[in-house]
Amino acid sequence: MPRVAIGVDIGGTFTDVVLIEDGTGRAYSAKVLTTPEHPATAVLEGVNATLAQAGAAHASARTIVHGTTLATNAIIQRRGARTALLTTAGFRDALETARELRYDLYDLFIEFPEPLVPRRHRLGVKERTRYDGEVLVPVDRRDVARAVDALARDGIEAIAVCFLHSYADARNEQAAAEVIRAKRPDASVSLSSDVLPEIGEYGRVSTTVANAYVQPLVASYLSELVDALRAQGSRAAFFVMSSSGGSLSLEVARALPVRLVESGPAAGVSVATYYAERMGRPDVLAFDMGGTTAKISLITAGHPTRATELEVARVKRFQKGSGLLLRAPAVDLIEIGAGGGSIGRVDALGLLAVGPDSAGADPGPACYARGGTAPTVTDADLVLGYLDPGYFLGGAMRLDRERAATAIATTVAAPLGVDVVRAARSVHEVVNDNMANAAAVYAAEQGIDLRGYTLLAFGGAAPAHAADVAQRLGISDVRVPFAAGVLSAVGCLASPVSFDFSFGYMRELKQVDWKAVAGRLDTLEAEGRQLLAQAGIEDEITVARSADMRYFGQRYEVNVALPAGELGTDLVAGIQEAFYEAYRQHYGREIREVPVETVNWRVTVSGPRPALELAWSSQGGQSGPRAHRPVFFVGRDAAIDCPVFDRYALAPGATLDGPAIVEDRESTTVVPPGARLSVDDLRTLVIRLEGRACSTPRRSRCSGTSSSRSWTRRRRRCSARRSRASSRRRGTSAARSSTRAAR
Amino acid sequence: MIAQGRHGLPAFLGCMSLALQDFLKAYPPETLEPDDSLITTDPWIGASQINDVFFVTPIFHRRRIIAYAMSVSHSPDVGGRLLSADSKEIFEEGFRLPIVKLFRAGEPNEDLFRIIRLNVRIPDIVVGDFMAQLASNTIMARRVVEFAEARGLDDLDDLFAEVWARSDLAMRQGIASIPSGTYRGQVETDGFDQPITLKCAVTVAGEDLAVDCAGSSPQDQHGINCTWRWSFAEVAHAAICVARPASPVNGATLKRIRFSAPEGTVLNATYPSALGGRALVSMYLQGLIFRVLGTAVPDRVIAETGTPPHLSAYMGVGHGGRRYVDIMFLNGGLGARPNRDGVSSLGWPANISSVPVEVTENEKPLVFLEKELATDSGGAGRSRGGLAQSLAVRSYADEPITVGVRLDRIEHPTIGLDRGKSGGAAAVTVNGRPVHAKTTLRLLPGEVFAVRTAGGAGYGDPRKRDRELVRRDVADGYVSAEAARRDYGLDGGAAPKAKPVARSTKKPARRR
Repeated sequence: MPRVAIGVDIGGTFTDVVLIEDGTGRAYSAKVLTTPEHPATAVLEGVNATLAQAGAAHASARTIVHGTTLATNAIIQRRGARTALLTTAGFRDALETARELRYDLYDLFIEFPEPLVPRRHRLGVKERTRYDGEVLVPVDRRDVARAVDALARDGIEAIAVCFLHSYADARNEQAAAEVIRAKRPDASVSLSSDVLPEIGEYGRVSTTVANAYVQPLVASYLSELVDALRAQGSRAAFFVMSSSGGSLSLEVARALPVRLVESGPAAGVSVATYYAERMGRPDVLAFDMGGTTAKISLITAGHPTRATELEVARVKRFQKGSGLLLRAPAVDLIEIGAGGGSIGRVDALGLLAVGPDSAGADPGPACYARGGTAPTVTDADLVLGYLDPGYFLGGAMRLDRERAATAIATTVAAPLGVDVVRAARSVHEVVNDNMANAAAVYAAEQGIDLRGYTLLAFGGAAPAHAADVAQRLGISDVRVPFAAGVLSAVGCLASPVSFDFSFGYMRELKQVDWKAVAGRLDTLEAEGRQLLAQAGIEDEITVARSADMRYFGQRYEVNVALPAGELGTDLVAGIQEAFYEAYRQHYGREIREVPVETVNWRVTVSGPRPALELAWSSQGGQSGPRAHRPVFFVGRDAAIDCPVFDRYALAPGATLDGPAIVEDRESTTVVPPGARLSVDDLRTLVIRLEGRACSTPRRSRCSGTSSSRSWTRRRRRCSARRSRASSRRRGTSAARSSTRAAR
Repeated sequence: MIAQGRHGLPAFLGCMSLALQDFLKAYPPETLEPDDSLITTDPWIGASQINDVFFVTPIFHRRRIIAYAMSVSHSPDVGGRLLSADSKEIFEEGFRLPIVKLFRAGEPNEDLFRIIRLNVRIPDIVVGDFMAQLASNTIMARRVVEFAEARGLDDLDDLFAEVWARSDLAMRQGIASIPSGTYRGQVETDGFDQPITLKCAVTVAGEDLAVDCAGSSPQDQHGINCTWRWSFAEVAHAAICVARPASPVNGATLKRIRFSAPEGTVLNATYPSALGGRALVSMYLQGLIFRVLGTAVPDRVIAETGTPPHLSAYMGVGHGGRRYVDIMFLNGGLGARPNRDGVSSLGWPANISSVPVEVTENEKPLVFLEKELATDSGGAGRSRGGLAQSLAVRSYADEPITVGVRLDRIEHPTIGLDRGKSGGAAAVTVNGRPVHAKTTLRLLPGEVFAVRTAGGAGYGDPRKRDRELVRRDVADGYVSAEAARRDYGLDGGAAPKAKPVARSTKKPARRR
């Protein structure tokens, strides 16, 4: 019996399972409803379904990797443990005072999330450590004991400990933990020196408290799941996706569940990283658009952008600064309030806005005919002919075109004084513009030029919007992978086992005690290797060391990779140059007058990236167009009688010219006029937009023809003219002219 | 000003929109070339403080200027004496740069840099900040050009006109939503030795809003004065908060607001008055305008916030022998809102926050003894004001640390709305002894400097506050059991159990 690997992605609504056979790469998938009270139930159901498809038994699974939103949802829904916090006396409010910054300068009714531990359960104890690790006051054990007794009366289940400067010396925290464990062996204890030994009391306390808050829940869930699988005869090694895109062993996941907060999205980024390598396209913009939100992340030179902090439970949706800050290594991504359910409306200024509010799944878009009357992006896509009312979700659900048209006519077309098609197209273009703008700003913040990137589209709504979004960004290469609906589960299987460590040590670069730093880095590296060894990984281990650095006295850092080998003063000049380079990429120039300082130091120890082979099975069908229907494309006034293809019938190697619509059960891919589509060996749809990156307003210079061939020719001329005029253009805004006109 | 940042100080943004005209008078477009950058620190052009560095870079596209990139930053060190409120003339506060070209076609004006370096304490940091501002302007310029190129546009005039028109419309709609009328009021601040009175008459007439501050105190002989532009910018911030236009804020939004204050008053101080403590007066303006407009739109305003924050500048020698000049921010509590409590310890109106204790201790020979919310500092009300903070820090430096104390609301705690009570007053002590809140002092090795900021005021009758919320506040130590009885009328029988550990409420230097 062949061995198999199983990837599981537990989302809020669905649990996706993918099973891949070793050797053949044959892949099977299942999608089942998530069971929020006992997530293990759905996991088991999905695993059993894929095993049955493959004709395999539990015992054949060698590894199970899963991503979960459990930790995030526990924080958002406030379902975590009753948690207390011990701090240095006189500093118990850092958790509540947080960043002290407003995310809106003019909103008097601004709100912030409640801290996870109310003030009555935040207690100061007598102790003090200095910035350099000198213990000024040893922790008062009687003080700790008194606090623990008092908390026991309030039914506290988890205790976080965060003392000042514990990143420099953890003895006081460890002594406090001894007292707590002696008195409360049942309580979960999280020390900031274990969870996140970095400088900055708010980030550290916030992260430590979140860890304590979700720990009991995550630990019992993981035990339940593993027990259930073991009971079925599974002997698989068990891993959990971390926020940083690596997988963690069960033991680490249990101890540091705060590392799982972005587990689900990280699986999505992980699969994009896998595809980047598999496609030979190292620079990828991953574009995941679902019903409510779109997520965008960047893979550059084969590596995802990483962040050292993230935010959860925002009280104002999509508003940075309105959530709880967690400092934990994470893949970086942005989330935009743009999805199939995003609602279009005309605001007080007569402007068309789309999102971030969403009709969700219930009542859903007007065309679902479940009582929704607000016009959504899905309604617009239906009116424009992108979606087939009879083949939504493979025909499982019928869409009502009349209701969609009525909703758009009433709420958008009438106030703008335009016809329904024009209004629908404006909704489609505005939501695309929102996503493209967010992506452009995000890339610009990192000093990244998106031209030359490949846009990888997955999630239900992305394939219908991908080509136009790409064009707005000046991207000419769009890929739509097969089985996009379960790809995150594949991402779980594509990620290496890895562990991230960090510690705070703030010094001017020229005053760093390299012996001490090297010692600490080496200790962490050894710890990482030991964890990998426990997971059965001894070879092909990579170690990445870096430091967060800044100009002396600044408050924002950039991450700088450290050279391999022994660290010492002879490397200072090289490290300083590397900092200048990183700074220049972010801010355009370096400043040589000012000294450079370090803040936090990082080590990542990773096993090899799994050699994942994939073979999506073909299901046959008619290879020519199965229908034609009128479709309105962006930038064109008249409908085109557009051929519609069955994706399952497009074999590897197939090619066709746009305009075309390609349908599968999970999504609809729009191939605009002038684009060329081919199917690669992974059954990924490859869309080339070359000759379409003309950036002038199309309507004024390039439209007015009805034949797509002559249109393309004109576009090329137009494009050439533009190229001469400007060699550095980016993005397109063909939509802008029509949208503005519509406004 | 077509677009502005979404963070920082609203007053900086307001001043920026006005300062550009002076830059263009000094250097008309035909005198500028690509990669030029202009600078000034003149407080009557900029933001009422010699420390505020204004930086302007023309954005060239197809050989023409299509826009200007502009930034402001606060430099703690501009020479002169340490930033404080007790100067008597602008000349004490440092050197002023008129509008000058600091970079010509990308090349630094080395003569100018030599003068600047000679006149500041930490030249590398000051020049580094200039370079960071140059970098931000350069990026701004590059992005605008990329935007124009991507759209194949020669200039952005049409776009700007459209943005301007819509912002203007949004602000007109916002103002029109406030009932027309003239609303008057006044407020008193601690002042330097004598209280300062600020008066205002806010006139809403359809789509127009005018604020007249005639009758306010004459300018002070100490540095707590404001320039007209700075006062305007604070007033405009308040008006925008109430009008809540449906568009992002820009120059068009600001232009709808008219402001007047007679020359020679504390809100329109004339040369050569000292200005270093401007915020100690101007940051009363928002609360005043909210209170005044509250008679017209009570649901759209908040009670007074515990501003100005603590803003003391301090200088000494840090770890590694490096000299530092820095500011020790500490925020107060936000005023209560009609429907919810004020936020405790929030940057307002300037969106600034304190440096983490751990970072400061890594830089300077200081040990913090306390940084915590101050029990009972939130003004009582149906909605409670946000709590202020207490901070205490001991020096273990080898030499004295110079502190330019800048604090207010010692004698004038925040004022509540609709029978809401005042928040806690501010306090500043050295070794437990009260010190003048606007003095420059030397903190000796081993001494403890302690500050408490002001709490936000309450909104509505505290006796009408939900009893459950009062009990919760007591359990959390936001409100003491005694204050709950006194201010909220909570009967003793319902008092919750005592707080588990008392230690965290011991404050080493709270008393004035």
